[in-house]
Amino acid sequence: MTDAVVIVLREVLEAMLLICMLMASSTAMGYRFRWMALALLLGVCGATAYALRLEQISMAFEGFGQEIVNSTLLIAIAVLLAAHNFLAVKQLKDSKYRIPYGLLLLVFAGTVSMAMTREGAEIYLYGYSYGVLADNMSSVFSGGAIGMGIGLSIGTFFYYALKSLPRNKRLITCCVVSLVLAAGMMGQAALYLSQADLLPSQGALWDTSNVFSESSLVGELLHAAIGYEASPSLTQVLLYLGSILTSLLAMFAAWFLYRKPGSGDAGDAR
Amino acid sequence: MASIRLFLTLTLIAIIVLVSFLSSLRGYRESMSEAETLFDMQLQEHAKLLSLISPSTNTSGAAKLLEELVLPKQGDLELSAESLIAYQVFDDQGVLVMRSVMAPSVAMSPLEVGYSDRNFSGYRWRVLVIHNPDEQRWVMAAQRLDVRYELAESVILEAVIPTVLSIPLAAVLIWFIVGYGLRPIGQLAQAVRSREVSDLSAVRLDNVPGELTPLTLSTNDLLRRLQSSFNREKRFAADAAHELRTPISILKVQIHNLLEEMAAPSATLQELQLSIDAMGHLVEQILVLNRTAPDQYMVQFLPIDLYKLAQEVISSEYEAILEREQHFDLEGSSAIIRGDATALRSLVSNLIANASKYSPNHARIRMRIAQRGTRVSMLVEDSGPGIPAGYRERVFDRFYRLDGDRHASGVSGSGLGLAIVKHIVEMHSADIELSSSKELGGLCVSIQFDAAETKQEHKGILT
Repeated sequence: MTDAVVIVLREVLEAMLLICMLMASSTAMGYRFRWMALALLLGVCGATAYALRLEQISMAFEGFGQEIVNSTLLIAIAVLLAAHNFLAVKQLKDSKYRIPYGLLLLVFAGTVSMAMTREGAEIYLYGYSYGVLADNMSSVFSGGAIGMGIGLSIGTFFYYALKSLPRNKRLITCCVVSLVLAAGMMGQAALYLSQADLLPSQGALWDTSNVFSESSLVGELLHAAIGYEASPSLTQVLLYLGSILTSLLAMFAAWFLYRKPGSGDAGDAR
Repeated sequence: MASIRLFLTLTLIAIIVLVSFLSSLRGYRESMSEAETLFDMQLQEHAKLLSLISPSTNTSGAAKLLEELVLPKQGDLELSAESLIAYQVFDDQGVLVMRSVMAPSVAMSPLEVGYSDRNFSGYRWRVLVIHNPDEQRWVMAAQRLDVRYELAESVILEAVIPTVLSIPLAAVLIWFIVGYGLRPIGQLAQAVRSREVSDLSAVRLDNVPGELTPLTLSTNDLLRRLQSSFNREKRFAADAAHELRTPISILKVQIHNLLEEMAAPSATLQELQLSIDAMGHLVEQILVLNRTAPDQYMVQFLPIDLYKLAQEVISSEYEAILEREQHFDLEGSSAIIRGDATALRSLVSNLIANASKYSPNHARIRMRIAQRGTRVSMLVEDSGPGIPAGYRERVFDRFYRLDGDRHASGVSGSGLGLAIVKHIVEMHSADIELSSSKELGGLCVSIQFDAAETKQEHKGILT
């Protein structure tokens, strides 16, 4: 049962932090949660399709299909999170700026549906293989329910904590959370790409498993929140930091290049 | 915060889930550890018992099978702890004296006293080795770890599963209990929302909870101050207009006398007379506006034939229309609505006066009154200049005149006529719309009333 708790909690927590951050950000941008309906629909369909087609996906790309699909999903989510930060900074600079709904739908629903596809497929596969096939339903059900319950509860508190912040502080916090989540995803993507031999495999830069084991509850929480890896490789660290830097650059660009409508430039002012 | 009820329900459920699930998880781990100890003790008891009853030496050359001696046949206790315990008894020379059916022929563990985990027969086992120096025997008892785990977990899950299953029930209960707890807020909101616009009396609620008492008191205090403020404004406007009536009437008489006395009245004096007439009109309009304000008007709605009422008003206004040689048509038939006769007379009068005043000489004015189903429509159209679409909302503002005092018609007005019309329309919960008249080309004012509902109402019609 403990295994089921840890596995489901890790996946649910990762997805909940992302979803709750985007929900809070959406309220700060003046939108309600209608985009969530599309995101949930796409996420459930995506997760089901991914889980049901896993065998074919795994066999694709010379047996590295799953790694490549997972890393693609993670990189796409990280890119959309950078786009979120770009839009959030525009909103911060100009409170009257209204993000076009189509763009919001693309970034927010796209991020959530892809995250759900990945996390949902993993939960489904775990439940199916350890619960149904191994005839261990009560243990997997109880563990899964406990893991999901804890993950959803933490997500609820996280959402209301973000929601309690004033609009601008909420947007800034969402940007910081988004930066860290995206970096963690790039780190994971690097791991998958190394496993698929698309990036060079390297030894661990450090090993902190004796401080926080990745399989411990704290380790799982840190993994979901900041993409904690006990023994990361150089590539993982570089992609982690590179993701943060790229996203920061996008945010600076949004801040300095965006002009409020009607504000004009120096020439107009004269 | 979008909803207090949703916030309280979600956060309370989240707290319950976190606390109960984390304690269940901890309880599960503690119970599993406790179960391990119990299984170890069980192994110890079995090993001790066996050390007392087993034969001292292997006289036959082959180890005895324990199943024949002390245990029922395997299958009678399928998957029970006992049936899955394997035993071995060795003498001090290390010769196997006796074993259970499931135990291998070789030693399950080295002859070292204590517990250890070993692999044999395709499983991982928990093995206990004890030594009885008096009987010179080594006894080994072993249990499959996967079976121990499964047995322990099945027992512990019996306690965990109800906790998991009870959460949806708790969520439903919390939703209703929070809703019940927040009911006084809803009642207060309903009490404020459901009152008439003119009702500014204090809100009275039974059993107001302590948390809501300050809000109720503040609301009542606000309503009281609002009421006195309204009364002051009402008195001021009414008193001021009323007090102005007398001096204006005196002025009118004096200017009339002055004009009579003078052989050739000067143009300045004639303009002065027009200005005094305009001032008198303005004061009358202020009084009407004040009387017809929806939040102040003491409404007495009765069934009224709008067509007949319009006929009466037109006959009194007809002189002004004739003066300008304008052509007026009243079309339609009897249409009954529930309304206030005085206010409706003022409405029709203002609409006709407006149409006549702002249309040129020889212009056409048409009023149509008709009932269609449950609605009664009143249309007033003219062939005047009309009102541009962008100004049609603003003309209902008090004292607003199109182009200010430089109105293209050159007609003086108070700027209150359409504000009064809007008041009366709102008072009757009717709808008003300004548009361009397709047939006459000028302004078209369309008002839609609800028709009076019952035949009984039609009997006591007023006009």
